[in-house]
This record gives sequence, structure tokens and C-alpha cells, in this order.
Amino acid sequence: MADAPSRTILVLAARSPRAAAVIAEARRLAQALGAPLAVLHVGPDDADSRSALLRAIEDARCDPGGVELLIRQGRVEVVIAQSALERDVELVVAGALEREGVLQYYTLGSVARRVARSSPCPVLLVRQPRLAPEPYRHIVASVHYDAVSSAMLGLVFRLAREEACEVDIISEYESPGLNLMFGDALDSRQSEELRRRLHATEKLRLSAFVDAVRPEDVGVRLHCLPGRHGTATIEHVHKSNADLLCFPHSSAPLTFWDKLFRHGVEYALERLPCDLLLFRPQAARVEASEHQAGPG
Amino acid sequence: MKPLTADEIVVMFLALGTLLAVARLFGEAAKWLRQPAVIGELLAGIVLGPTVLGTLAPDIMAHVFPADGRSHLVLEGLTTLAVVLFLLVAGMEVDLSTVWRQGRAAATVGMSGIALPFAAGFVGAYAFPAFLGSESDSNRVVFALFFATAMSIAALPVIAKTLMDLDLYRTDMGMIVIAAAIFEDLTGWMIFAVVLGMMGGGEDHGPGAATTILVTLVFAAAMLTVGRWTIDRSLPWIQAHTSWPGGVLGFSLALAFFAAAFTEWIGIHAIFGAFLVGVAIGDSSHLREQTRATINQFVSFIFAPLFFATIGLKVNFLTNFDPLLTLAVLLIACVVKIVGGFLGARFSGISRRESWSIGFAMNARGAMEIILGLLALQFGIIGERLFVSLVIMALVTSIMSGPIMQVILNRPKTRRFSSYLNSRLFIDPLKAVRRQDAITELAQAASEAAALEPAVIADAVWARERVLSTGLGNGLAIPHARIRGLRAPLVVAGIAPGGIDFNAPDGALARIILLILTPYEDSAAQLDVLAAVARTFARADLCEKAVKAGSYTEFLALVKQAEGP
Repeated sequence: MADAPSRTILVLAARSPRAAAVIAEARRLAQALGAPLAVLHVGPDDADSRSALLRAIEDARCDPGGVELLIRQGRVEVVIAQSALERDVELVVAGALEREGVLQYYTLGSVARRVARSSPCPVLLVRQPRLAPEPYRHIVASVHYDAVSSAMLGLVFRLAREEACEVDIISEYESPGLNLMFGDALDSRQSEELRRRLHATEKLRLSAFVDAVRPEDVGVRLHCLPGRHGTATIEHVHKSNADLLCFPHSSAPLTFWDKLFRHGVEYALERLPCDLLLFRPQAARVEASEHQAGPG
Repeated sequence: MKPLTADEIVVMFLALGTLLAVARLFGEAAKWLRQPAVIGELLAGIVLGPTVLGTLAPDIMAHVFPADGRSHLVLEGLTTLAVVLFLLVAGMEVDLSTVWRQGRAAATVGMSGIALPFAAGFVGAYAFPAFLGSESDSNRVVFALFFATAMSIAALPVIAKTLMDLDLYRTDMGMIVIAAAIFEDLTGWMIFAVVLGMMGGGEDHGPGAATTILVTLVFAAAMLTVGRWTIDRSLPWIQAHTSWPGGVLGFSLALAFFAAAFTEWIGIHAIFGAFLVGVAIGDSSHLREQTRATINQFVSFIFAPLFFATIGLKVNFLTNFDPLLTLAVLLIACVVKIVGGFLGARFSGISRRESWSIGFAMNARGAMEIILGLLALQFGIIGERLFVSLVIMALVTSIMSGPIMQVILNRPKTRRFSSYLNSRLFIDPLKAVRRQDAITELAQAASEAAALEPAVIADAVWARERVLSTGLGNGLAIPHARIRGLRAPLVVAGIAPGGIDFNAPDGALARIILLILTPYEDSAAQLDVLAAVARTFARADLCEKAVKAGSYTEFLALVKQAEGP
């Protein structure tokens, strides 16, 4: 991927003890993806903050010359959106705490989640950042059959190739209306047959979809899981002990309504079973054209 | 209050047994004729009720199903319980997150599918109440509102079944239709609750109309937000600390009964509470599929037949059958609903042909319409003549939506699977007994036609196979790959009478193995062929027969037969 244009990885650093570890994780990802790293701090631009952040960058064992330090003022979401417009940001990295309670959502909430909900570009939430980061072992990616998902898989495969990790690709499918129908029109053998057929069709769709974007040197496993959107994937994450979960999402911000109507992504964001990549399509356009140019 | 006498208990169980037995029997017969069981269950009631039994042997009917007295009350109570449970199950199928995620298209189709029938129904019924079977003493606005609701309601299970039969369930269009139907279900019931509220609540208790409506809306809103949230948080706790499935079942039913009591008390019908609780419970991600199935089974096999059979006991379907009214109701219902669905689909940018089929899919009314009509009958909003017409309309629209959609959508979608077959690419029987050997053997046969090295093909297919095994169940496996340098899609069919393990979900050995190769650059081609395979081999018995085909000609004939005309 040396010929790919280098797109910035932006890491969000607060003045907290965790900052150095979050930066270290971002450094690792930037290296894996071959991208320059920029550290963004939102707060007053004084000598004190600057030195604290520089120290964190050093603790993260970044090459100080290779890292750009940005200090901006304003609401974090707005600053991120601006920065994403100004430069070509491939990924925003932020540290987040494990679980979000209701009160947190309705009051201030965690900054990282607010960023994830509103950011125009992909956001990766790191749950347990470490100063000596380790590569991912197992990535789980949930897909729909659309362009955003293919673009997301592009990023996932690049990462998987560099970090040599396993990739599970999951398609969740729901079957609203079927239960009632089974009772009314079918006996249990027929409904079992129908469920199997549904599953087989889903399997075909997924394999054809993934085949279209999978580079030959990355191995993946495919799973079709029946169940509520988000739930089945998270269960799979727990079961397989994965350390990165990826969800595609449209460019629209996640709102209160998504939470209310249980958007799968909101479900994952609330629980955060492991690191979470929320992929957005702004980067998708560039990625997609890159992908077309890539193999040939 | 005296307890029930022995005679009364005898009559009660006699009635229940008769209803259930006849309803199930007729329900099975309906299924056998590939119709919804509901049709048979309704017919059972008609046979046992005043329409047939009451005419032929009025004494027997009066004895088993007395029209008043305490036995009558008991039966009435049980059928109310039955319909409350039925609506609980129906509510559990209302998946708000599906609607939310399908987004604008579903909302547009759903809105338009409700708004147009509602407006047209309201105007028509307000202008010609007498012609549409209004009873002289009923409130004109309430009657018009009811008629409008009756025109706009949709039947999710019937629609799901139709889409499934046509293999459209998991398509984008299918999901839009399902989401729109869910939306219409929910909206339709809410509107009807408001209509009942406008009747002014109960006679002897409860607040006035305005308060009833307000309380209804607040209750619904609370149930769909706070209620949903609370239930979602409580379920894991209940599942952890009670015996399963007793704990969850008890919790769900108790909650439904409380809500039913509440909605009845505020002056609308008990079923609304149960329906809303169903929505809230069904939405929880912690509700296990098995719990859902358990509730579903005892309701749809025991309570639903009971309920639908008792409908026939209440009304004489022969003397109240008004052909002109029935025809009018049927025509209005079809036209407004189909056009509504069609316009909504067109607005969201769906092709003309698919829009028509969406319109026809949404036209099915099913059981919901019948329950709606029954409630209106009990509340005195409509008379028996209109009720009979509504029931007939519900049945006719349910029966016709499938066949009509089939006609509309009967297009040469993609190439037929049989057109990929070739006598030189047919191996019967395969020598291989292991998965990898079978792939190699099939690749060998493909290599000449593809003008490629057999190893290139076999390696690509085997690499693919390791990612996701291609055993589909029912004895079919479809190893496949996209191959660089291949010009056109290629299918090699192999028959393995002894079976080869392709790791199918049902554990069965694969006996028909189709090697599917498509050009690397053309990912759409792969989808096309795979879709053609899935369509053709959807029937379980095809593999069974194809294994015994014996020759390429017979195999081809079987495949063509399965593809249909």
C-alpha cells in the first residue's frame, strides 16, 4: 500500500493519564496503515498543555518530528469535523470507557462517544489503550451489502494484512413477521425448511459480496447470524474473544432516535465489548476508487 | 355469586372442545389447500354458528353455545383472553428497529399506504354512510373514521408469507414492504384506539372522549419508550433469577394482562394494551428466540383458532351477506390500498413494476382486519352486514395478493440456471469421495471448456471453500470461485450418489455438486448464477430426484421442471 496516498490518522488526546497510551495505540495503527499521525487536543493552547502533550507523545514512543500536534478550541465534535474537512483524515482514534450508562448519555456523556456519533469520518474507539500496544489478533466486521461496507472491508483487510490477524465477517439478518406466519400457515417442519433456505441464501449473498472485495492474501471466515441487528454480532465478539469490532454506518450522525429505536451501532457503542471501529462513508469514496485502481 | 354448576361446566368444556376441534380440523384443511389457517378457522365458526348449525339444528346449537346466561359469559371471557394473547403475539412481531433502519423508503410507502386509503375511506364513508352499511343510530364521524381505518390496516404475517413464497423476503423491496407493513400495523391500531376513544369511553366509568384519547396516546408513547427500555433491562434479570421459560412467560403474560386491564379501563379495548406490551417485549434483544416461539405456539395453535371460530358464532353470515355492499367494500379496499402503496413506492424512486407489486403486497388484510371489524361490531360502530363484508374482503385480499404479485413480477430476471448446463459438463457419478478430490475432479472437467489449467481452477475453488464451506443443505453443494482469465460463467454438475461432506448446516452429505466458475472481473455474474441456483434448488425434493436422474437429459428435464414455466 506504499503507493496509496497517505491519509492522516488523527488521535484525540485529552490531558489525562491515559493520553500517552491512546497516542501509542494510534501510533501503532498509523504504522500499520502507513499513514502520518496527528495528535489533536481540544483546550487552551498554553505552555502547560503543550508540554504535557509533548511528554505524552514522547511516552508513546512516537518520533516527535513525525507527529503533528494540533491544539484547537471549541466543542470537540465541531473541531473534529473541521479538521476532517481541512485535511484528509482516514481515521480518528479516541480512548473510551467500557460502558455508557443512561445518565451519561443524557448528560455530558463520554467525549469519545459523542465524537463517534457525530464524526464525518471513521472513528476507532480504543477501550484499553496500552503504552506498549499489541497488534489485533481477531477482527470482527459486521457488514450490510453496500458500498460503505465494502470500503470498510478495504480498511479492515489492510489492517489485517499488516497485523496478521484473523478476520470474521458477519452478516446479521432479521426475519420480522415470520414467527406469526409460521403459526398461521406452516407446520414446524416447513418453517424449519424455510429458515434453512433463508440462511442458505444469506450465506450465498455474503460470500459473493466479500469475494468482490477480498484481496487474495487475506483469509477470512464468514458468518451469517440470525437475530437482532447488533446483538448477534456482539454475542459473537464475546464468544470469539475478538479485540476489534467494525460497524459500517451512513454519514448521518447517530441521534437520540437511533438510540431509542435500537440501532445496532448504538447498541455496540453503548456496550463497547472491545475496540470499536465505526466506519463512515466520507472516506469511503476515496477508498473505493483506490480499490478499483488497486488490483488490475 | 354462586360458583358454576356442573351443567354449566359441562357446557363450557363441550363448547371449547367442539370449537377447538372443528377449528383445527378446518385450519388443517385450509393449509392443505395452501391457504392461511385463519380461513379454515373462520369457516369452522360459521359451520358451528347460526349460519349452518343454527339453521339445521337450532336446539343443539342453543345448548352447546347458549346466546346468554353464565355459560355464554364464560365463553365470552375466554375469547377475550384469546384475542388479547393473539394481539400480544402480533405486537411481538412489530420490530421498530427494522422500520427505523429501512428509513425513508419504508416510511414513504407506509405513510402513503395509510394516508390514501384513510382519506379515501373517510370521505367515502362520510358521504355515503347508509350505502356502506352504517347503522342509523351510529355517529357519522366515528363510522367514517372506522371505515377509513379498516381500509388502511395491513396484515404483516400474510405479507411476509407472500414475499417468502416469491423469494422476495430478503430483497431490498421485500424489506421495504415488511417495514412499511409494520409501520401501518402500528399506526392503524393507534388510529383505531383513538376512534374507540372518541366513542366517549365506557358508559358507566372512565373519563370523557378527549381525556381517553390523550391518555391513550401518552400510554402508547410511554410504552414505546420508557416501557421498552425498562423491559429490556428487566429481562436479563428475570432470565437469570427465575426458572426458564416459566419466568419470562409469566412476566410477559402478566404484563400484557395488566396493560389490557388498563386500556380497557381508560375506555378503549383491552387488546391495545396487550399489543403495546407485545411491541415492547418483542423489541428487547434479550428475548430469546425460543421464548418467542413458545408463546407463539400456544397462542397460534390453541387460542387463535378458538378466537376465530367464535366469530362465526356471533353473526349469521348468510342472512347478513349483502353482495352489493361486499363488492363495494372489496373494490374500495383494493383500489385505495394498491394505489396508495404504488404511489408511495414511486415517490421513493422504485421502478413502476416493483411499485405495483408493492401495492398488491400491501393489499393483504388478513386477521387484523377481522379483529378490527369485530371490535367495531361490539362497540356498535358498524352493523352485521358491513362486518360480514369486511371479513370477506379480508379473506379475498389475503388470498389474491400472492398470485397477483407472481403475475406482475414474472419477468425474465436473470438467466435460468438450466441455460448454464451442458452435457459435456455433467459428471455422473463422481469418483471422488472427499471434498477436495471432488473439486479437483470437477475442475478437471471445467478446464477444457475454460481453456485454463485444472490446477488454477481447483486451487481458486479450494481456497474459496476453506473460507466458507459451500454445502447448502438438502444434499446440495456449490463450490465456486471467480477465476482470472475466464470469459463467461461456467457450471459443472456432478452427482455423488454416496454423498460427500461439504459441511452443510443440516449435516447432510452433498449429492449434487455444482462447480460454479465466473470471470474474476464480473462479480455481478457470480451473484446472478448463485441466485439462479438458490431459486431453482429451493425445493427440497429436487436433489432427491436429480440424484436418481441417470442421464444428463433427465437431469436437465428435472431442473427445467423445477424452474417452472
